[in-house]
Amino acid sequence: MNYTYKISCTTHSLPNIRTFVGDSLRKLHVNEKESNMIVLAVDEICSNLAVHAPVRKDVDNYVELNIRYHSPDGVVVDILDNGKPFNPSLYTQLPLEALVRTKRKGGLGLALVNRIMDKVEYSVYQQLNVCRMKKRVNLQF
Amino acid sequence: MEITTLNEGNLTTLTLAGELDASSSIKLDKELESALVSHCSKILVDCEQLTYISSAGLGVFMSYLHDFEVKKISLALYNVSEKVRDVFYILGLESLIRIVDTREEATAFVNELYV
Repeated sequence: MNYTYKISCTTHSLPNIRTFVGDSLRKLHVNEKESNMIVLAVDEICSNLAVHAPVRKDVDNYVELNIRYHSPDGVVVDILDNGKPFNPSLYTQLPLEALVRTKRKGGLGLALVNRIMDKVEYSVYQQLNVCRMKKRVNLQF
Repeated sequence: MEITTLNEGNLTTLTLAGELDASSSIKLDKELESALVSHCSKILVDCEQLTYISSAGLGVFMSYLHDFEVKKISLALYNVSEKVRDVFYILGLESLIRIVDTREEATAFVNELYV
């Protein structure tokens, strides 16, 4: 089963995105604890897109989610958007002490994503940015 | 996200209800900023009705730790659900932000930190 959802790429869409991801993972029989973590990881990526990516004024920015279970990878989440591409090589994780000292409010989101998910890949496909995340999970029936 | 603020002398209690994400974290930011510039020296955060937190919420707490330390303002979170607590634990933030089970434990901590 493959679950898809398309919505405007704004921070106001985040509650709907979380609900969609949680509902999809429940239908895929992912246990609640791991589901909560995947919901968080998707929220973090979409938050970054909503805050940083929508710089194109000529188009309506949107985000499209695609969620499925694929053995042996586990849960596979594709997040597609038509905003500014993200270059992960420009991202560096600061130590927690440095974040405290500099009083930065950002800088933790991708660290969470990388801790939660087994694999996170970024690519461009047909002029869309694609973030593909995978996580092996325990299913419960 | 709803935040209720109760000021009792030098003690401020913030009661959080709802989801703390990139959209709503600005509310917490404003409340902590108000506490910072007030005369309070102890902040308790009741998280019993906090159902979700993302890095935006974590980041707001983190961004005040330096100023709180400089001004000797103590901070403790209590009544934190396992779901929310797990998010703090993923990055090891429990080593920087005190998270306890009950208001009594939180009160004891903030009373003792800068004695």
